[in-house]
Amino acid sequence: MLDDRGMDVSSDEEHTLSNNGDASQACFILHKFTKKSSSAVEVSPREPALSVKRKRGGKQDISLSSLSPCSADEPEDCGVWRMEAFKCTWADIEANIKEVFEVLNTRIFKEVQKFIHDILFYDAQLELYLSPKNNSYPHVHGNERSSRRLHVALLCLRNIDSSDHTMTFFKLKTHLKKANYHVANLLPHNFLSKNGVGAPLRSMLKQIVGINPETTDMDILASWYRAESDAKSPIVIIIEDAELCNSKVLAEFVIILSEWIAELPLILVMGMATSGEAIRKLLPGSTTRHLHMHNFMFPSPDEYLEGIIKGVILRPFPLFTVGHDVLRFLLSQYDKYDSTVTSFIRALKMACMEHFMSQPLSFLCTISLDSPLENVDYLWRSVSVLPSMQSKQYQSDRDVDKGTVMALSQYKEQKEKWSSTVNCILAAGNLVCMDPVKVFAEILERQAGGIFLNDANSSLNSDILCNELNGKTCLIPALLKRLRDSSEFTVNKILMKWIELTEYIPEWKTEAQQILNNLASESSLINTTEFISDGCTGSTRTRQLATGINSIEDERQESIVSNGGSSEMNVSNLKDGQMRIHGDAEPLNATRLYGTPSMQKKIGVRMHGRLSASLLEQMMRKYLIPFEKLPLNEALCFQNVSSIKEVPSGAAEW
Amino acid sequence: MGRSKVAATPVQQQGKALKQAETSVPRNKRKSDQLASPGGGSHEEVEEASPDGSAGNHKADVEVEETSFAQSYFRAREALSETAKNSAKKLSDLDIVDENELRTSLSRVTFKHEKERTTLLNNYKALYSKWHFQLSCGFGLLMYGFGSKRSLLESFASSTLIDGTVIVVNGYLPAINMKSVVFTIADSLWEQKKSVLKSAKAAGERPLVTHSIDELIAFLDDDNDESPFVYIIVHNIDGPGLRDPDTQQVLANLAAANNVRFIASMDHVNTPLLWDKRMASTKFNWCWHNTPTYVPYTVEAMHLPLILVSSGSAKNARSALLVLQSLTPNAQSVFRTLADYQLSHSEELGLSVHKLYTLCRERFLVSSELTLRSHLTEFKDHELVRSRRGPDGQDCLFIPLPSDTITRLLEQIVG
Repeated sequence: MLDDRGMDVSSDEEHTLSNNGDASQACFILHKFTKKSSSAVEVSPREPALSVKRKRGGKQDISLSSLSPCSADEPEDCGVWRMEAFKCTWADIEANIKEVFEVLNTRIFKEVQKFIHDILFYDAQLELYLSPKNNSYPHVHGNERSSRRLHVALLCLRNIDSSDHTMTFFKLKTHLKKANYHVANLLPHNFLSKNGVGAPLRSMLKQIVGINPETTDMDILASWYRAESDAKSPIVIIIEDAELCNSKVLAEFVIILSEWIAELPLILVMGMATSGEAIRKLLPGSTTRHLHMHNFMFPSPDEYLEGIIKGVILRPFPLFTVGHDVLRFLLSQYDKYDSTVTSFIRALKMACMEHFMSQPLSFLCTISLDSPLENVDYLWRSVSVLPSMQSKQYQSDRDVDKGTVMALSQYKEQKEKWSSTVNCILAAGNLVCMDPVKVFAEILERQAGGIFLNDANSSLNSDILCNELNGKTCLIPALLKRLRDSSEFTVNKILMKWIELTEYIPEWKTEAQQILNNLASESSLINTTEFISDGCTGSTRTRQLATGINSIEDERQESIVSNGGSSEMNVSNLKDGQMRIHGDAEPLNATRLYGTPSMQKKIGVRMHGRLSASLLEQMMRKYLIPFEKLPLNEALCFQNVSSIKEVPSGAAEW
Repeated sequence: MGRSKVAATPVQQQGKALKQAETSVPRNKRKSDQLASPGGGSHEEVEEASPDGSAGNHKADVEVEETSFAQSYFRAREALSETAKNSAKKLSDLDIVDENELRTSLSRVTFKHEKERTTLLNNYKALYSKWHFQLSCGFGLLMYGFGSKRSLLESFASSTLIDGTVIVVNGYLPAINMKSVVFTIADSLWEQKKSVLKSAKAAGERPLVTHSIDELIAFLDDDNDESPFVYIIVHNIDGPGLRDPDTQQVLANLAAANNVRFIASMDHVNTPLLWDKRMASTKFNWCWHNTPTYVPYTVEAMHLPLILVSSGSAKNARSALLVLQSLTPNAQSVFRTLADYQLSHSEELGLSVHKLYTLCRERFLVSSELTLRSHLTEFKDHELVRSRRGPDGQDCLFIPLPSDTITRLLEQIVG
């Protein structure tokens, strides 16, 4: 009996009851797919342009064309728009994530490829050296050949949990295949004790030779290789996550390969979760002596996360943002859970899904500001009830249209400035050897506490601010301090980086450029060789100098505090080594403050560091405004962290 | 009066055993004890005080007394160890009620708060569209919380998951053949493909039972964008039939396949220990949902032994299986012969050793009675086989397990 949806049963209850007889079956079909039932679910025909292409390793085919309504009065179109906005937003985020991984991994892939190439060249040279003129490959000098060891590239994944590298080895295989290498990719489940060494050999032969052999004889590979036209290409065997393999089977496999090294140009690539040294624990000494090992290091999980923060979270587009509480939760997933970027990305996707599911106006995230808005009636009703928009008084539909566009534009502008500011902080942190992920986490903490919005006269490096962070490390004040103490070289680099990153904040760009120009003009007077050293690798001499300057600085600071003045500086007033301190009637002369001309030269550089720090401080106060305080934040920023807290890994107690 | 009916506590039993041991000691032994007591003098003194003066007889008596003393000591120790065994017994060992009677009584129990439970289940209906969206975004759904989630998941599937075939796997069953499950899923997908793509050719090669699990999963992991998908619902992914690592790996590979959307329920608090991180976050890709239903586990518990039923046959069956698996194929065949006889002659008390020997000899399982007896000793030591007195006075061998347990045991030995 078919219902209106085309189901085989008349009602859910009846259907469930009808299955009571199936309770004792291991497996049964609850209902079959019918075209009628599927058409009942589709609200509008699927648009191929919007459907996300499915890729290997990730099920991305979002077949739904509409999301369920958030409220009873929501028009049907809004569900479709929200769905489209989600698809568009997530496709963009995902593309950026893939790009980050690709950029970071390709460097290692190229290194591995170069290593294989060099090994082949080395072997060819050795061949030439050992072979008498009349002998030909491969049956001469068997002893010399067999004494060679199997080259193994150990790729250290730098995390005990290899979830971040599910696609890495597949991509490596593709990369090496492009270079015309014969590649086989073996998985840990190929190396089970119950299947023995036959399973990995069979899988290897299947991938390289392209047949499903009845026996697992290496002669098959050797004869195929001799017959192969492209016989100069090496045979690369990749073993993913070797530490998960059965060590006996792996050892046997390695021995077999090493026995054939004289006949075939075999190279082994092994993924090691912890370190390259783990191979010595994994394989017996009798096996490792047949190996010649070379280590390669993948970027650490922190580096991947940094890339994702910069490439996804700090990207001005799309407009969808996550509130600082949600961001802190995402970071905690990474930091406290398993240190894999996968858990961060999973939680980010859940947040994105939840936002578009629950926020009726979330489709505004991808709306074009140039085209007029549709369905203004509904928009007027929805926008006017948003707490962030209640201060605005709309008289007509046209006002709503205009007001929404203005709010969107304001939000976009603020997001750009926020992203630029955070990027500048991270760039500065990076150049003075601070962990960008930790700096970013502290920015979020400070934003959550509204510390950046405090009285502009209070300094960010004060102890009070440190206490406000519950005794956690105060990286921002430390960063400002290091910036003040930086060498000319570092200040120069930081300013150059800022000019590059402040595309959306012209005034910052101008001021950074001005400081850089001043620095350049002054540096011609100073023997910069004494200062060419960054904060991380400063020479003893530089450190001694910095200590000397610090003591002078401290004295100066005390005099400012005793005068009740602020240390804030105005860059525009800086001319010819003079700086104006607010609260002082007359400009301070560096000579008056610092004494001798040689000292003045050295302190001139220091001054630019101080100016840079001051500029950064001003920008932080001005642009690090939480998204939750902006108009339309309800529609564009996901803030409901409690709704996703238990979804990634369940409740602690149940 | 009431006291006498109360079962003896281990301490009481121990005291009783000691008393028995004391009474079982021969009278002369007691005498010697008295003599050996501090006030009673020594054996030599008794010897000297003998009226007839026959020292040799006395010596022999003393030896007998010593032997009997040792015997009584070990008897007492034996009684003590039995007491210790009794104290280790569990509530399930008590012969309280017959299983059928208990199940009938249980089926008559009416559960409370029906209305509230129905309201709770209805409230979950508001989340169906959200769950559907999560599934379509590539996540798997993992439902946890107290109560059976069978009706919840099937209601969700029937009302919302109508854009694909839904296949249900009952993980609470004691034994599940994963190969046939994967084949059913692959075959359903093929039929769906044929219907959607409108040709059998476009649907690809039809999966066969002879294909390996990896090949079947590869069929489900099709890269074609136009390919349809199937929903798989696994009730109790932590069930006894699915707990081993290989099965979980197969399920994870299934969940990661492109044409599969995966929903599961779990009930054991330690279920996540079945998965490693990579399996849980990249293959199953779980979205966790706390969905307590407070619905009784009637269907799920049907295959579990009741704690109040006396025999604890399931426990015995498990240990029997372990023992049998460690024995030689011949010994297993001898056990099978006895089991087959017991199943086909359920009214008889058992099979005599002689008859068993004849049957085994006919089947070339044993060449001599000595070999058979060695097998029987092994069986008896592990309590796989017991003997009792038959109507003709002969010892009859029988397997102390219910018929259905024996049948399952035989199936598992073959597996």
